[in-house]
Amino acid sequence: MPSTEHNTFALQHSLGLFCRTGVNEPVTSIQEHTVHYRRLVFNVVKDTLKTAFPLSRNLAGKKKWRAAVAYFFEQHNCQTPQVWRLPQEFQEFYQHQDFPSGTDCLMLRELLQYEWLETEVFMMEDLPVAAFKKQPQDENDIYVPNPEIKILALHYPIHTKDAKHISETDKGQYFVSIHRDYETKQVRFNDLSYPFVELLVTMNEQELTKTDLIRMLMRYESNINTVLSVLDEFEQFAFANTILLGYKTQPRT
Amino acid sequence: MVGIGYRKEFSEQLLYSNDLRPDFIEVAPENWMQIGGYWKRELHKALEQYPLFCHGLSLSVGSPEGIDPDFVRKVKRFLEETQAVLYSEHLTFSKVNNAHLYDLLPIPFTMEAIERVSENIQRVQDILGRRLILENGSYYTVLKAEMPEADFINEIVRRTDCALLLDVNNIYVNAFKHHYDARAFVSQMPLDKVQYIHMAGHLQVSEQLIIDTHGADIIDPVFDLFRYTMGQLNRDVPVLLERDFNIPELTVLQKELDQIRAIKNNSLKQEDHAVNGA
Repeated sequence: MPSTEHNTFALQHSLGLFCRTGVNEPVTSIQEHTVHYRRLVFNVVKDTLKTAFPLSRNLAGKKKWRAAVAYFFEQHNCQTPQVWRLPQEFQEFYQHQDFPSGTDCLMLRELLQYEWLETEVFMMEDLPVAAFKKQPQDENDIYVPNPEIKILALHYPIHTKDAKHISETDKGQYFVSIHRDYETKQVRFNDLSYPFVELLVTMNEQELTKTDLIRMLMRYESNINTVLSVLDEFEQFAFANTILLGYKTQPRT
Repeated sequence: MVGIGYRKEFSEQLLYSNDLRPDFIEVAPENWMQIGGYWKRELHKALEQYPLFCHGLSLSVGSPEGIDPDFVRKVKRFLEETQAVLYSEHLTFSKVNNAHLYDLLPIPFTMEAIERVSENIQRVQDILGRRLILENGSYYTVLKAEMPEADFINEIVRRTDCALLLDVNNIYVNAFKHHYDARAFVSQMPLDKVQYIHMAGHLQVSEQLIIDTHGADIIDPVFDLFRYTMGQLNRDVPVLLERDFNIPELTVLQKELDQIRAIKNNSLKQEDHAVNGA
């Protein structure tokens, strides 16, 4: 008799590869049913990515998008056991290579990142927030920021314009913050200027008082009245959007 | 107890209306662990009202390459955080060649598979510190069979001392597709190991094929098979109604829950009569 050692595993491998590629269908007991596994498996992947990336799919076009999904699933060993995280692997895969249709589009890559971040921020684990008061008690109070925020640097204004209407003349430097609203837990997007980005990044890395923010803004603008006005604008925007949550008092030494 | 698969589509109505009154809810840990924000908050509200049963999707006890211990540890943490009553999974594989496939594929009914699956189950049980409950899968075709499915399941249960989740709809669907007697199959199961039952609807695609969609009402022959299964079990076991797609009005789901409960209670009452009359 021929050796059957690991024959079982070889059969499992062949069904798995067939599900990923749609070719080299293994022999099974009811041959006409085997294709349903390919169909069902691929549908899960296709539907998950379609739901996660509506804007990217629209920009690429349905045909190129489907080819990109099929190529990804064939070539990439999906690592996450949580299917809702699969879009992250898809967008990372295409940060390093072109779509199989030859589409090499920086804007599409940025759109993939942007759409994944929406899912990631919506689903991410809760991050600890220091106890805070809505109103400052002291001029040396420290701002308490919402830590559930990501900031994305972009070359195209995909967060403010329909991607299909963006041209090379729009190319520039843009920043968008993607954060989870502290109360509603819904995701919000905000177009940011560079100084605001710096303030948000820094206050999520270290404890800052109003004086610290003034000092940071003075690097961009020497007129103190203008700085105070900009700071006021920043505070109003950040508190209204729950990007800033409140204040905590400096520990006394 | 009769429970329902917790769906985002009806979470608010479940919490704030009386349209659906399950005894427990069930979730797939993969969809709810390591998350925060809105859905974590909603799940915790639901857990204030209902006990949680967990039914996994990605464990892949049938994987030739073994199980992922990091993933099992994360599942364990979730089960502890949510004080889950039980954790069940599928006697299938969904990962092979180091790649997840996100669907449940049939394990060949071979001795080689029994050995690997048993090793995988033992490892999972060691990490979890609890007995795994495995569901009989539905399958459209068979890769290889050295033995009948019933023997395959019995041998794995015997070797690992795992428990069994009997999916009555899967038995019905498999019996239809592979031309065997569903009642005989139920009788061949290690019924003393059954700790949980699933009930669901399905989609008949053609004269030869039914797909286990969880997207339709339960049909009468599946209720009949459930009645038979309860008669064979002779004891109370929690039962879940699975409805993942085409979700109707919750009052319709409640009627199905009531029907499951009535069959269960009636079966247990008959058992009481038999015991008292003896």
